Amino acid sequence: MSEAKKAIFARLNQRRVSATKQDCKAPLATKHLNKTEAKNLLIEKLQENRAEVYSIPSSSWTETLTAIATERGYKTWLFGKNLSGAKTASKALESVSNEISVIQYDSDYETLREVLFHQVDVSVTSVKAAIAETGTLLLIPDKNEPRMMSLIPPVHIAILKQSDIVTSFQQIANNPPWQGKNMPTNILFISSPSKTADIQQTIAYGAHGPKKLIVLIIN
Amino acid sequence: MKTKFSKRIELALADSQLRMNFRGAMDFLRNKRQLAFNDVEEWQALRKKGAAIRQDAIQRLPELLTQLEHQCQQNGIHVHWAENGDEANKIILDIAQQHKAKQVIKGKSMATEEIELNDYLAKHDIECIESDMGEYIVQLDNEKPSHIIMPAIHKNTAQITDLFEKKLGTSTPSGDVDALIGVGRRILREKFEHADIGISGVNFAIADTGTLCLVENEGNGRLSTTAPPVHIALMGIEKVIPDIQALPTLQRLLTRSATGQHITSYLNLISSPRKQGELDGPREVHLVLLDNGRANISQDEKLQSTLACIRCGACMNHCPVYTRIGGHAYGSTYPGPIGQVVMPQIKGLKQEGELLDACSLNGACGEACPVEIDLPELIRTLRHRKQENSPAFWSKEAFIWFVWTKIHQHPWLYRQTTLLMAVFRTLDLNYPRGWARTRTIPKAAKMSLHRQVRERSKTKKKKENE
Repeated sequence: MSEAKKAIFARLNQRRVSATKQDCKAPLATKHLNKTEAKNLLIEKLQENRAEVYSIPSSSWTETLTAIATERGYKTWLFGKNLSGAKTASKALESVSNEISVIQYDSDYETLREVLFHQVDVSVTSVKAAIAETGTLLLIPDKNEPRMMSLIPPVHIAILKQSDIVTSFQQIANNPPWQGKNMPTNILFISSPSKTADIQQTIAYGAHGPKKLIVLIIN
Repeated sequence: MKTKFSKRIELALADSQLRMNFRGAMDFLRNKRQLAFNDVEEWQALRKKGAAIRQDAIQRLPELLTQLEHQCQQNGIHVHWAENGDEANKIILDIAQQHKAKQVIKGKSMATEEIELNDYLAKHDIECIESDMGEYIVQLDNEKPSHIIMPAIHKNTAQITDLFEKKLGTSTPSGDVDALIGVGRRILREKFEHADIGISGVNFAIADTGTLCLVENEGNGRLSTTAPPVHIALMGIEKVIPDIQALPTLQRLLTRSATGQHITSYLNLISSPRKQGELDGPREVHLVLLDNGRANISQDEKLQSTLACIRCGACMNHCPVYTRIGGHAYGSTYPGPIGQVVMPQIKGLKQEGELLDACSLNGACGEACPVEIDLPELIRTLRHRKQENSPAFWSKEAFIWFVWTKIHQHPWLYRQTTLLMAVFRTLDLNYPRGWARTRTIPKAAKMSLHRQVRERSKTKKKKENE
């Protein structure tokens, strides 16, 4: 044990203060939302925080991406390996115009850094769950969809299944989508594009991370 | 050598631009918070639960810290212990030197301000750049943060435009905040791309899973903890919470109290360095646990609740003194009510005790606190301790109260005194000079109230007799 730790614990263990029982698990009043209400609330909250939301049938997310590519001229797209339709989407995007290229995040960050910082226009990731109450997406990056995907490119497109929407953060904390005490390396709760109000309380988007957050909810 | 607190207050009060900037900012933040907590019953239940979670964690610090250390180590995070700022600085410098680091990028962290890490690393030829936009602005002007959540709150857009022009040679249209943020983004992205080490604070650390939680809007916290090959997190030992079930309550209280947001753009949970097969994230993560007086506070029955603080800044936003003098006048890492309570405890009453004078005991801070810290009571306790340790009888204030008590205990003396005051009513006592500079000193009446009543009843009786 380090000297510092020993000294700190000696101070902490003086037991000069008697403990009082605290009620830490008191349940708080919660809303009960059905599937449609939850989805509507999620959309409302996301839009309040400047995310763009598209609610689409499952067959059409490739079409939605190609439409976005055509309309806005995003050229370099980044995909991971978690989205099952990624291959089809990549092909469809590349066929939109020969200016569009699709990159896979399949080598390590050090190799890909230049490209990530200076070339990628938009990245597409999956979403593990969403919280309706606050309009929040839960992402659990892994080797197939690394952490930087939702951080460095100026546009982040997140693809969410409607069935993965829950009402509150507490629900996720009580029944987490990971294995007990075995936490993933990184867990992200994302609720808007990157923003700041550090200059005279004026909100500006795209402070350090994505300037745009586009959410596709698949029904 | 610092100037006296009273002198700094005087200067701040005379700066009308500064006062306007703070007034505007505080009104804005207070309204935002109030809108976020518009359901009073919900606020009270949430607050009660938050207070219980924090109080419980402080009572169980030894147990939770042991668990946190163990679990972090299991996850591959290196854990270090620092008794004070010097030790924490040395630990961080050692790690930096082992990696031959020259450039450090920092996410927003008040703990690193507390130990004055930037100056320390600079002395050892390591450049430490602040990446939070507010902190970056403040660093650019060689200042310290004036607010724990919004560090550059004392400056307005025009002042920042001028600062950027002077220091960075940029020219952005006046009043264009987006353009200013764009400049910051461009410069800091370059730093993120090439920094050797990322340093961050910790908002909450989850003991049973060994997880560090960072709450932020900009994404600089995420970049600082993901891009560089090494991440060092510094946290006060009081920031530990038992499990993730406790997090939603505290998160809701923190962001709503701080900026009126129901949640921030990012909540970032870090539990380990890059694992085998993963493609990004730091290869090394260090956690530095800082005591700096906290363990002793945890053993003080009357002051223990100081440690429940989740650093939301609501107490300063609601403090009439802070609103008028701003954060810099305090001359301390943490300003406002929580600063008045924390600073004398970590630096000693002798050095920081004067901060306690800047309080009217109006109680607004205590009511705004999301974890029910009775700040006014803490301030009173510390004031009492400060007086206890000084020869109080001979202080001017104590002497005046002594005389006042004697006068009010003896009716004869009381009558004589009021009589004298009525006679010498125009006498200039020279006491409330500073106060009287912009006000008229009230004069004692020609006749005391007691005497007036007596005279009146006399005349009345006379009339009745006639």
